[in-house]
Amino acid sequence: MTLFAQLVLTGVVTGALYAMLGMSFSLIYSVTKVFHFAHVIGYAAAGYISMVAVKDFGFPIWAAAIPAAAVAIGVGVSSELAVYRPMRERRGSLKTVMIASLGLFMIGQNALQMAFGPTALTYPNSSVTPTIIGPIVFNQRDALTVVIGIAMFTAVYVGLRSKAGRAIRAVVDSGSMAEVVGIDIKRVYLLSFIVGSLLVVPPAMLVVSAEGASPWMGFNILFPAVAATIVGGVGSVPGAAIAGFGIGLVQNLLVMGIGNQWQTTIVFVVVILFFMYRPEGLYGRPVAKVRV
Amino acid sequence: MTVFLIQTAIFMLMFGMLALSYNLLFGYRGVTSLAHAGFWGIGAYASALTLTKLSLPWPVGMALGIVIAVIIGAAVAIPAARLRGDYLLVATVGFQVIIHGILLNWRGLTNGPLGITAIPRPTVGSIAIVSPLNYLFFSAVLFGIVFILTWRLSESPFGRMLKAVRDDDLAAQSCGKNAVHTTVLAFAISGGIAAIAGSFIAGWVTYIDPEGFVLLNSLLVLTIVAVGGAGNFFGAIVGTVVIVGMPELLRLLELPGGLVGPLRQIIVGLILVLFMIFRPQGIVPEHRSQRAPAPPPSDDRLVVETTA
Repeated sequence: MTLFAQLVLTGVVTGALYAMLGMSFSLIYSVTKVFHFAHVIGYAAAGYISMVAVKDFGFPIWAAAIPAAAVAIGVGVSSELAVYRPMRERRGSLKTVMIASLGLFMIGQNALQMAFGPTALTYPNSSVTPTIIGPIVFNQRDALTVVIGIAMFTAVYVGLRSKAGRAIRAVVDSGSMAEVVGIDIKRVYLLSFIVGSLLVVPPAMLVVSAEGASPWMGFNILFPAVAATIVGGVGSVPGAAIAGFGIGLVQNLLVMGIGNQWQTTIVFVVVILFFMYRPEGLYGRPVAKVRV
Repeated sequence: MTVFLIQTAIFMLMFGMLALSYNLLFGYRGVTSLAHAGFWGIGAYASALTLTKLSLPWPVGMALGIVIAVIIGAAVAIPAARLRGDYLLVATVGFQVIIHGILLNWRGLTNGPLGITAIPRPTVGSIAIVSPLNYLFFSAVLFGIVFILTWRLSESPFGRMLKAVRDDDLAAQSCGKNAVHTTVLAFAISGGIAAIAGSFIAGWVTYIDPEGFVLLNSLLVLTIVAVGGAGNFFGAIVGTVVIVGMPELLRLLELPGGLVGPLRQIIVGLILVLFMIFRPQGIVPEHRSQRAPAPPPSDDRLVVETTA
């Protein structure tokens, strides 16, 4: 029972991280249909920069979020402007765009490793005192992760109902229709890259404070983020949050039955089953199916 | 210097085999798979384990590697044949990570992260192939076999069927071709040939660990074929020369050891991005019939439902 409660708690914290990454990936993918692998490079770069700001420049933690956000947005916006937009204008197929984004991922991953070395780096004094309630252990960072996760979900939910948010939803529904009614689709694409990249900053800093920044942190979160996007339903950003939360919870609870080295494998299996039997996800609209 | 040249040539022949096999799947069948390094690893581990644990001769190890890779390739293809585009790519990333996870975590069999050491060199008859020059000849022969095999396959009716399913699976099926069987065969064959390259590399470096068979290597093979020219038989070879050969020039700059690996991959990634923007068809593009207009991409539909 104690183990169960502890796993639920860990699952909720992991789920909150997955939810944040899932929302950010889903926003970009739903709007632009670009499978933006380099998104997780923005996430890792934000983590590194916040760490450098604290460690080498003496920023307080909250202020380190500013350079981190600048870098994350820089990665997103430059990918869009330098690669994806020119490809769209040259009528590149979705497949070539996807391969180009893999190339960007490859560049970013190795650039981080060259700049910061292959080992993990941490914030100074980032240890937190654990709180123990009965047999369950958690700490302030866990609590903060959940609070920030909920706050981000609320912000995205409300934001999608603002004027800019309505334009975003219109483009998700149909890009060509949105253009007909006078929405500047290029600006909406750019906006989705800016907002999507901004959303990775809090989870990046939380993960860096817990585990340190490593060049692999982006790759480690890639699959959960993508899984949340698709399980939640492409086109539904809140759906991605709920799915991310669920994946984190399921992943941790399954540890009770199976060893924890199989965690990633379990997530993959769940996602592949979803692809096959419910490709529209939990909250998405039906995807085009062909019955042969 | 000669040893360095021989080594480069051997690596190029090895990646050439991987690229030729991947071209069947990616170029001809049009499946963007990122699991190819996994099949390569299956071949390497299967032959290394039969050699070190069972002390069986090298051809048996290679044959076993091929059989396992073909079976796993077909197993991967069964769910994959129902998916398209982004979903299919993500599923193959999943398979790549699962294969890597098994190599890493099934310690009893694979020795986990420590890898397998002291793999004996292959023997032909009673002669062990040890010197680099002999190994170069050996790899040239193996490459020749793979070359002829993939060449025959790609020029055969099967090769045309792969392209037909890629361009319009509905039309292919209305002509009585089974799209799912074709995809399963493409995965199985290209996986099996990748396993040949795997048992080959295990014999050459004599030491393998799971980190050799990761996603970045799958990406490298994808880059080779995409830059060379997907769907053109010689695209795989041109791509190998450019992507594997050119970064070797970096060695002449005498950079500090830790920088060479990442810098090489940055260059490869940059080449890939630039090609996708400015010349997505690759250096030697596929020949397309002048009479027929290019087919519209069928990537937009993400899932095919098949009723057998």
